[in-house]
Amino acid sequence: MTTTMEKIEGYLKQMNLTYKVIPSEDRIILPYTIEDRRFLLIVDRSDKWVRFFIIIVEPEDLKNVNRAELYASLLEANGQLAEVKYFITDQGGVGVIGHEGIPSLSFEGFQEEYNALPFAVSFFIQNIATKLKIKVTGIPD
Amino acid sequence: MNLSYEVKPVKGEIHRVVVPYSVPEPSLKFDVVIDVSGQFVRFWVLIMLADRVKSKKRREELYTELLLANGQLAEVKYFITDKGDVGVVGHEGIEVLNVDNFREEFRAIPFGIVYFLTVIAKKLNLSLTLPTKDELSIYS
Repeated sequence: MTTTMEKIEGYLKQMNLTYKVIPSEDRIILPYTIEDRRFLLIVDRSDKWVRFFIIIVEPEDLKNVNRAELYASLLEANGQLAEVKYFITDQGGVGVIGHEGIPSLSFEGFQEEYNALPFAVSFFIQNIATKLKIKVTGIPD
Repeated sequence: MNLSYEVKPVKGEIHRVVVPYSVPEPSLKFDVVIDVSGQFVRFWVLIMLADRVKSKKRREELYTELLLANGQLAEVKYFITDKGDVGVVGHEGIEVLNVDNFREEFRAIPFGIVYFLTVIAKKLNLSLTLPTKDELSIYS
C-alpha cells in the first residue's frame, strides 16, 4: 500500500521538482527561489493533514518592526488569499502555511496548495514588507 | 450534508449562499456565508467586531493569538476585514471542488468559531458573544 509520503513524492516527481526527504521526521524539503531570494518549502504530515509551509522572515529580522501593524496586514491579507494563510511562529517569525486533508488528497489539490505558497511569499515581499520596511533576505545559498 | 440554505443577491460578480448553522456546545447560532467568485468558493463568518477591543495593546494580543492559531490549526484561517472586524474564512478552488473537500472547508468554519470563543476569547477575556445580524448588515 502506498503511504501518504510516497504519494507526495509521486506528485513532486510528476511536477518535476527537486526535493530532499528526511525520513526520520516524515518531512520533505524543497528549495524554492522567490523574488530572487532562496526559501525552503517544507511538506510534512500529521494523522489527517498534509502541511505545506515556508518561513518568510525570522524573528531577528523583525526587531524594529511595528508588530501591531504587521499583524494587522497579515490578517487582512488572509481574508483575500486563497488556500494558504499567514501565521506567526512561537518565536515570532512570519510564515505562510497550507493544509490538505489526507482522505481527499489528490494531485490537483496538492498542486494548487503548493503553488499558492510562493504566490503568498511574493505578495508579502511586494506589499507588506515594502510598506513596513521589512528586510526579507531568504536563506543563504 | 442535509443543510438548509438561502441564495442571497449581492452586488458584483459574487454568487452568495447563506447557511444558517448552530452548534450545541457552546450554544451558538450563526450564518455561514458561501461566496462563489472567479476560481474560488469562499466560506466565511464574522465572529467579533473591531470595537470590542479598544486598546492597541489588547488588539496586538488578539492578533498574536489569531496568527499563532493560524499556524497550529489545519484549515482554520482567521482574518480581519478592512474595518478590523475578525472572521474565520476558508477557500476551495472550483476546479478541485468535490463533496469531500467542500465538507472539509465548511466544517472548519464552526470549528474555528468554537475555538475562537472557547480558547482565544476566553484567554484574552473578550466578549463570548457573536455579532448580531444587525451589526453585520454592512457586509450584506
